[in-house]
Amino acid sequence: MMAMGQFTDHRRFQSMNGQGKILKVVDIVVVIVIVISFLLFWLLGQSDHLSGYVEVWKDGQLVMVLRQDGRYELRSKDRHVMDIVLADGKVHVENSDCPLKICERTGKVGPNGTIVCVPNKVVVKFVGKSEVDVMTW
Amino acid sequence: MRSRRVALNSLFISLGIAIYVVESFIPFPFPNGKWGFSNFVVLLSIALFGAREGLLVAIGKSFVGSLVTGHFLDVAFFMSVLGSVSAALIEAVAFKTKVFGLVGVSILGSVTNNFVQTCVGVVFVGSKAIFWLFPYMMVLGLPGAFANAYIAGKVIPRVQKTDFGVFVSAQEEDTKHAVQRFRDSSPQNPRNARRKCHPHS
Repeated sequence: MMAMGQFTDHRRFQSMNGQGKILKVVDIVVVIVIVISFLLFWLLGQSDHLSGYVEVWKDGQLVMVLRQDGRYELRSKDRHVMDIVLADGKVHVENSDCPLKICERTGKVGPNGTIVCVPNKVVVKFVGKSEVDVMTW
Repeated sequence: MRSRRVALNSLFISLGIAIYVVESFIPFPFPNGKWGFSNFVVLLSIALFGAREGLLVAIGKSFVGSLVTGHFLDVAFFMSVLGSVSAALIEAVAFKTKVFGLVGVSILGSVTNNFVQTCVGVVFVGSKAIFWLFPYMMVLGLPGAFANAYIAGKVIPRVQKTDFGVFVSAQEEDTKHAVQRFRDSSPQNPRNARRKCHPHS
C-alpha cells in the first residue's frame, strides 16, 4: 500500500476510520429487527387473513355481523332458519329450511360475494376488499 | 480538482443508469419489483465522496434511468426519484453517524426507499391497501441491499488504494509536474525503453 504512496492521496476521500467495514454488530441487529417485524406482520396476517366481514340481512334488517370463523345459527321467531358457516375466508349456508335450497347450492362465497335466500328473505353479504385487488397493482 | 469531481460524478451517474436499466431485465419475485442494485453506486458515492455526491448520483440515475426506460413523469418515476433520494439522505446520515457498517447503511437505505415508494403509491393510487405490500418489499429488498454493501465494501479499499487509477495526486496541484513524472517513468519514453515501468504498481 505504501509502495504507491507517491501517487496516492488519502485525504481526497473523506476520512473513513472504521467506516469501510462491511458488517458491524449493529447491522446484524438491524437485520434481525426487520426480519422479526416482518414475521410478526406475517403471523398476524395469517391469523386474521379475513379481509372483511359478513353481514346477514333478514327481512331487510341487519341481524348479524360475522367477523370470526365459525358456525352461526340464524333464528327467526324461535324458528331455525339456516346455519351460516364462515371458514377459510369464505362463507356458505347449511341446513336451510327453504324448499329449493338455492342458498345452499350457491356454495362458498368469498369477499364481495352474496348469498340470497328468497323464501326466507335472507341476504348474506361478504363485505370487504378482495386481496386480488392488491396483487394486481 | 473541480473537473475531476465532475468527471467522477458523471462516471458514477452513468454507472448508476446502466445498472438501473439492466437490472429491470433481471426477474424479481414481485410485480414491478427490482433488486435495487443501482443503489450500489449511491452507496459507493456516499462512502467515498459524501452526501452531496450521493444525492447527485441518486437524482441523476433516477431521472435519466426513467427517461431511458420510458417511465418519465409517471407514477414509477416519482416512486423512483423520491425513493432513491430519501434513501440517499438516510444512507448519508447513517454513514455519518459511524454507528452502522455498510450493510446497515445499505439496508436502512433500502427500507427507506421501499417505505417512500409505498407512500408515493398510496398517494397516487389512493388506496391504503398498498401499505400491506411494504413488509414484503422490505424483506425482498434485503438481499439486494446486502449485495450492494458487500460489493461496496470490496470496492472501497481498492479505490482508496489506487485512486481510480488516476496518477495525479492532490498535493501536486501542478498537474504538469505529475504528467512529466509519468512520462519519465513511462516505457514509451525512449529513455525508459529498456525499463518496464508501471506507474501504478
